[in-house]
Amino acid sequence: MEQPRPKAPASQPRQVPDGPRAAQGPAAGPPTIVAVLTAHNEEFRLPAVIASVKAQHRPVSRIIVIADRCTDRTADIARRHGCHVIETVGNKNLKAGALNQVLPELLDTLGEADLLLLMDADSTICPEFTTVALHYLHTRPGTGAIGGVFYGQKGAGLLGALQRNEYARYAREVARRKARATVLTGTASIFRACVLREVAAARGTRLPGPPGCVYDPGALTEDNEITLAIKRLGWGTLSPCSCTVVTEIMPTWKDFVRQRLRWQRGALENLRTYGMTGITLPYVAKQCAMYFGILAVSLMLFTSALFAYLGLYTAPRGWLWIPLAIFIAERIWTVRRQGIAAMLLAAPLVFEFAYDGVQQWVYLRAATDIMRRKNHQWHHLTGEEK
Amino acid sequence: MEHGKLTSLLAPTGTATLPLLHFVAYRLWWVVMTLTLVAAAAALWRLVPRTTE
Repeated sequence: MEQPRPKAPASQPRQVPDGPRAAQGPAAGPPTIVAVLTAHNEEFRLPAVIASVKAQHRPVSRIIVIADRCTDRTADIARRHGCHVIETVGNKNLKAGALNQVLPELLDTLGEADLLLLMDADSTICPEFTTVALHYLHTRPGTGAIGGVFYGQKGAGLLGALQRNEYARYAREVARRKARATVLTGTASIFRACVLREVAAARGTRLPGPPGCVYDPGALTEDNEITLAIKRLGWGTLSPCSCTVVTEIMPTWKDFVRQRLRWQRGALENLRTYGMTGITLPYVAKQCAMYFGILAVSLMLFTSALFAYLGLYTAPRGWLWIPLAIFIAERIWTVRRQGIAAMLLAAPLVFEFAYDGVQQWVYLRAATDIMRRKNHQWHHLTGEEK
Repeated sequence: MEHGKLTSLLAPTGTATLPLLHFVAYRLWWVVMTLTLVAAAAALWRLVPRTTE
């Protein structure tokens, strides 16, 4: 186990190596892409993640691994794979804090046109990721960042299969919305360096968070928050369906509930921080629809129970089969690209209905936790759990 | 739909032993059915293929 080394003060040489375009102007040649992988005890997954970054058809210039509070061999493995390793010191703000210890210095070394690929060290990207992202950033100058479209890794039995179906449907929805991204996923996204500099400069005034920080350390869901930040500054965000990411899935229901509780609570807190604006309106509408959906399902269950109690409940008949048939068709059709097993899981409806029920309980719990001002702890899987 | 038709559709053997609960149940049935049809319409919309998929 390596001991964390103290962070160099500003007067000392930078931890971040100077980039090849550090002294170049905005239009000097093709952009440099720097990959930054945030890792917390990722010794098992890290080699595959680094390999996926090195396999990019449009190569990245360098790979920096942020070893955040690691107690395993993450840093050693990263160095052995040729990555530059920076170990966080005294980080109490989790992923946002880890990135904030590295990004400000790193951004100083990058030119206006340069790009940062920010990734979780538990997610792998497809070989076309940087090529596709560069294409969109080149053809759409108003786009500030390109997010990945994530899919779930294999394993974890029934729960894993349910998560993969959910992720596949989300990916399909993003594609149907012409790649308009709701959230620039923290698993893997590419940002213009100039946009992140703009975000850091706007913190404390136009954007929430301490001045100079790229990420808001107070946000539970730092990826959702930075998406809102980038949009508030007038930049667009996209998640092209070709920018695929395979990320970890939660192996147990307990992990799953913890993860979703953080996501939902983070999303609600971000909206509360940003308030009601033209940018947050679609997010607020989506949240309202979700909570209305919980009300509708509860009403349906209550009515069914009442009918059963009164002895009135019978199987649907006549035209009542039509909505049911539509629901079954939609569930199957929307996961067809995941294969026959995914379709078979979706067909009976009951498994996914129960899965949605757990999520709806989480949504309610997140809302009540916020009202009760209950603290939330970030949950991170250990290597053995993955 | 008339009350009698609804009864025959859902529960031909149902008896009105608890009139108030029956009244509530059938009103709720209409609400639930309306919401179900809205959800089915949304599901149908998601079934329609788009070129960007």
